[in-house]
Amino acid sequence: MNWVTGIWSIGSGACLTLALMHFVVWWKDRTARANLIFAVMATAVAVLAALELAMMRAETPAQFGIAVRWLHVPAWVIVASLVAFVRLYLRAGRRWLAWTVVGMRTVSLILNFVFSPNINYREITGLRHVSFLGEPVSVAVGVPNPLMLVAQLSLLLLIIFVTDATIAVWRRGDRRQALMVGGSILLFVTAATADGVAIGWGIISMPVSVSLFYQAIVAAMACELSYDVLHAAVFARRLQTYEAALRESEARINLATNAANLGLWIWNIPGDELWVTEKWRELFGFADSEPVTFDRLLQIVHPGDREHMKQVVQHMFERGGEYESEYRVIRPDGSTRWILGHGSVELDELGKAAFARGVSRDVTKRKIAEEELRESEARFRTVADAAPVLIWMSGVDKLCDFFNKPWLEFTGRTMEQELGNGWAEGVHPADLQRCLQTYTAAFEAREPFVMQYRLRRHDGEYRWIKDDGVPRFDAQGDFSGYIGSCVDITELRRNEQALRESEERMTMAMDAANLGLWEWNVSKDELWGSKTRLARLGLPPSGKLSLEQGLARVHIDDRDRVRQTLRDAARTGKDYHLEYRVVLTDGSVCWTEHRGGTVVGATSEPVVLRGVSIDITERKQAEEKFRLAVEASPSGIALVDREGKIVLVNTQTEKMFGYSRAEMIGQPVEIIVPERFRAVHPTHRAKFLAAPEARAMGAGRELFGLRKDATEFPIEIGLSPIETPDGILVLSSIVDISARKQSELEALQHREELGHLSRVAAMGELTTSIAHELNQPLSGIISNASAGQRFIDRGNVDLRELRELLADIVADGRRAGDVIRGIQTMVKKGGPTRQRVNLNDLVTNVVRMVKPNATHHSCEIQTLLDPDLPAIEADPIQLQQVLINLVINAFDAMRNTPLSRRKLVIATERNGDGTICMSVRDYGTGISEEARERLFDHFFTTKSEGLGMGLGIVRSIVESHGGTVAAENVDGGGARFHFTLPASAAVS
Amino acid sequence: MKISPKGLVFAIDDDASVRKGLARLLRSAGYKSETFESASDFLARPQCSGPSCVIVDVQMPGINGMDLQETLIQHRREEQLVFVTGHGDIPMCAQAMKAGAVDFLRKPFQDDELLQCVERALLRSAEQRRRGAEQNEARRLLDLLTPREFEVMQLVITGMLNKQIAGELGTAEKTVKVHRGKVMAKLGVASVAALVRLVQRAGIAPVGNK
Repeated sequence: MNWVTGIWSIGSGACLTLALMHFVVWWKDRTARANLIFAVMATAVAVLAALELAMMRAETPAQFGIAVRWLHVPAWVIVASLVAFVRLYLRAGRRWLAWTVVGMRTVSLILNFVFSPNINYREITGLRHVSFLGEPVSVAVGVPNPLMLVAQLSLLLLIIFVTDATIAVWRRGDRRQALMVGGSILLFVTAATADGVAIGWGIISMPVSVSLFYQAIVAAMACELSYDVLHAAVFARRLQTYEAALRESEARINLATNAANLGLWIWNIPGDELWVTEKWRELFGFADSEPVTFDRLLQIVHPGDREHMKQVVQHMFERGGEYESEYRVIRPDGSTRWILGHGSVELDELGKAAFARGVSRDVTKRKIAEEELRESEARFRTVADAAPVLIWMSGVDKLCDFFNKPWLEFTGRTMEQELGNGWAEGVHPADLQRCLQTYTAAFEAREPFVMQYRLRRHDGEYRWIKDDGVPRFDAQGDFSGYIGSCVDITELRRNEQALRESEERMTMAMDAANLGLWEWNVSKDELWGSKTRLARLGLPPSGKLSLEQGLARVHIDDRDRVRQTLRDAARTGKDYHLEYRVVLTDGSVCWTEHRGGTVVGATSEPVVLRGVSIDITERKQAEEKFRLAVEASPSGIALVDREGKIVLVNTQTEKMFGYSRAEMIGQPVEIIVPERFRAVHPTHRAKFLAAPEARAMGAGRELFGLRKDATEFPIEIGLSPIETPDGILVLSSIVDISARKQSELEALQHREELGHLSRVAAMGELTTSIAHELNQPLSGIISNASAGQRFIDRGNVDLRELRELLADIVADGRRAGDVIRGIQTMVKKGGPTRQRVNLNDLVTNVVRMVKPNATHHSCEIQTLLDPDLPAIEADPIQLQQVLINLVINAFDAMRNTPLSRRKLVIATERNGDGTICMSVRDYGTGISEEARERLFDHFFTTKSEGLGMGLGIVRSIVESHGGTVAAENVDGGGARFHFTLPASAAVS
Repeated sequence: MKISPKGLVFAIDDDASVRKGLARLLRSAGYKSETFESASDFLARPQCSGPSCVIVDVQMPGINGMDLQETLIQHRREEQLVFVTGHGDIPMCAQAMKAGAVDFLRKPFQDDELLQCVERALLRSAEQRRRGAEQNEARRLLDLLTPREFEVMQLVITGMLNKQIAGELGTAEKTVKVHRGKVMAKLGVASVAALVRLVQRAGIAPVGNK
């Protein structure tokens, strides 16, 4: 027997047989595609074996070549079917790789037929016979075709493809399959490829025997596929059993699901057949006999859920396993129901979804409830988050389970941080203990609580929080926890504090100022007063007071007036102003000033009277004192207002002017001004008001007052402005100065008399001088006249001489007359007359006058007269008097001075400041210390027989000229008396 | 017509009217007069040789009448003073008179009163001059004596005897005698009485008796 032929034939036959078998299987069940492919492949392997045999039996290279050529056809089929098998049966392998393999193989096949003889050989040169299995077989000798690589490459790719697929299957978990199918294919294809490559490239000399390997693959695949055949039979038997059980089970399920209102369905996916229970039809609104398909189902699904449904189904198809979905359906009657579907998907051996089965339940009610709950929760959330307060909730376990947005924003923490007892971290350590205690205690008692504590804000500052917590109860009345709201009361606390302080301050201020606040609610007749005030009046500080109770403290005489005023104010709505007395608890009486206004209510009727009262007892007392003072004043007091009307007078004024008070008040003040001054008086008043200040009126003027009986009298007025709230008042103090004027006049007269007397006295002092002065001219007259007589007696009369003589007599006579006139002027009584006086001339006159006296006293007189001395306005006689007095005093002072030293210096000088100074300096005894003080006093004298009028008069005269007189001792002995007079017009 | 005694009259008064009046009056009485405003002016004038009198006002600035009197006395001038005054002052008057004034008149004075004074004054002045001359002569004679002789003379006129004189002086009587004789000769006197008169004329105070 030819072993080669035998083996190859048997192999081929076996393959054919297997092919046939599996072909029939496929014929029966068109879904068993793997079987078909296997059949094809087995056939191809058989053909391959046959061709190999043909090759081995080839006689000629051409035969060999043809066989080789035709070998590629089944080879291609094998490759393709292997690829297909892997893909179909193993359900693995990358598609692109698959196509690449097939594509490449196709290319090589085409190339094979294009080239001659075939793709393996460029040329077959000859045949060699080798011994194979005891038989000689043909082996080609020739030039290998490089294009052979294409075919071999495709095999390589196939190997890679299969490897990849195997790995995928292995990974998938089908280890048996991977090993059996994938592994075997891999092994044998690799071997076949190696063998083919080796032979093809002439590396080994062996006949092509790749079919053996492929046969091995076929065998492996057949085994694999046979399992199914085996299993099928087992399954058929089992199936029967199962079917029975299934029917039983189905019945039970039906029962159960019907009872539970569940709809069952089973979906044959490939056939798109949905088996459903009656219930299901009911649920979904399908008619009893209506066929149910997935599409049909989709149609009744709510448009909004369709997409989701599709996706779920898609997912289901791909993955298999269980799923759950909720969706709405629109029933034929238009109503919408929620369906909860729970199902599972079975995948077939190819991994495709084969069966799905599930349960559908109408969950509309639940859904609605859920929806409502969600809405309700959402509403709650909205409200909670929108609330201006911080809201927290806790459950029955005391732990907090909710904080609204404001809370979280306030604390700057997340919900997770705050939940449970996390919120307590934000509470101020000092308050935490108390907080928890309060909360816990209330919680235990299921009571509401309020607490204040400090909570840390997101910026780290602790803010005061007022937390109101109330217990929550569910619909059944069971306790379900607490809910609380918190408000940031920091500002409030601060404001309260500030308000408290402000109130305290105000109370303090009011107390200090003795102010009281009052409120009288007219309609309710409720009187409220500030605490201190009430206490002072002995009224109860708390509790309701009626107006009458308050009025009980008002002095009985003022009660009616007060009551009336308040009622009027309440009625008219106007502001009111009162002054009244109150009787304190100790019985003392105080004056109160009360100002207030009305607060108008909604109906524009005065509702509340509000006022301020202040104790004005002191002021009243002061007013009283003022009034008494004014009345008691010895001078006349008159108060005159801005318009010049008399507002107030005292008794003295009445007496002074002879009017009664009533006749004066309200009258213009001009009624007491003499007519000739009346016109200009308002101007003076205006001037005073323009620059009001306390001063004497009419400085420099003589003022007179006019009595009622039209008589006038001299007055002096002092003016003081007084500011009152009602405007400025002028307080005039009027003094009747008639008496004073009278005495002034008398004094003036006395002075003049005194002056006169003094002049007379001075003249008396100057008797010597006077006598001397007169004697001189008289001697002259007598001498001349006697001489004249003798001349005449002698007989030698010289007429010329006589004339001279007579002229001299006349002159002397005049001279004597002048002297007498001078004396007369000096001693005449009379008031001072002012005229322009040149002091120097005056000095000269006086010097001449006193010269005899000076000579008598052996006293030298020296004059130092300032040539620039201005003339002054003065009374020449009075000044002469001054000088003579001083000179006489000087003579007296020098009585004990040695004759040679007796000297008198009279000097006039012009001072730089517009005054002139005259001085009389002697060399006498000087002024003693005791005398100095009283030197110029009237009736002070150091002379034993002096009247002491001299220097007093000197001072009076000098001062009346506006000058000053002084005296001092001089170095070198003696005294110097000097007086200064203003050069300008003197003031009297 | 009365013949006025010879002599010059000086009138000193600070007042012009008075001066003028006086001058005229004096002239009308036939006297020659000179007027001065002040005593110093008068003293400046060289002394006149003949009898003179001075009418002077007591109260004058500068050197007054009293001062003038004193000055004249000091200078042994023979002018006789007539004081006139504007106002009377008894002490002053007495003082003036005591000092040798002729008279003390008050202004306004009577003209004849004044002229009488002037007359008296001139007479006295002349008398004074005569006496003065005599005195000078006597003195001149006395000057001729030696000191010793003078001493002797002094004692002689007291009536002392020569012996007494000798004893007083501590010399011999003889000496005294000699001196006495010389004295008498020099002085040209014959008797003690004459000597005494001479000495009296000279104005020498006698030595007091023991």
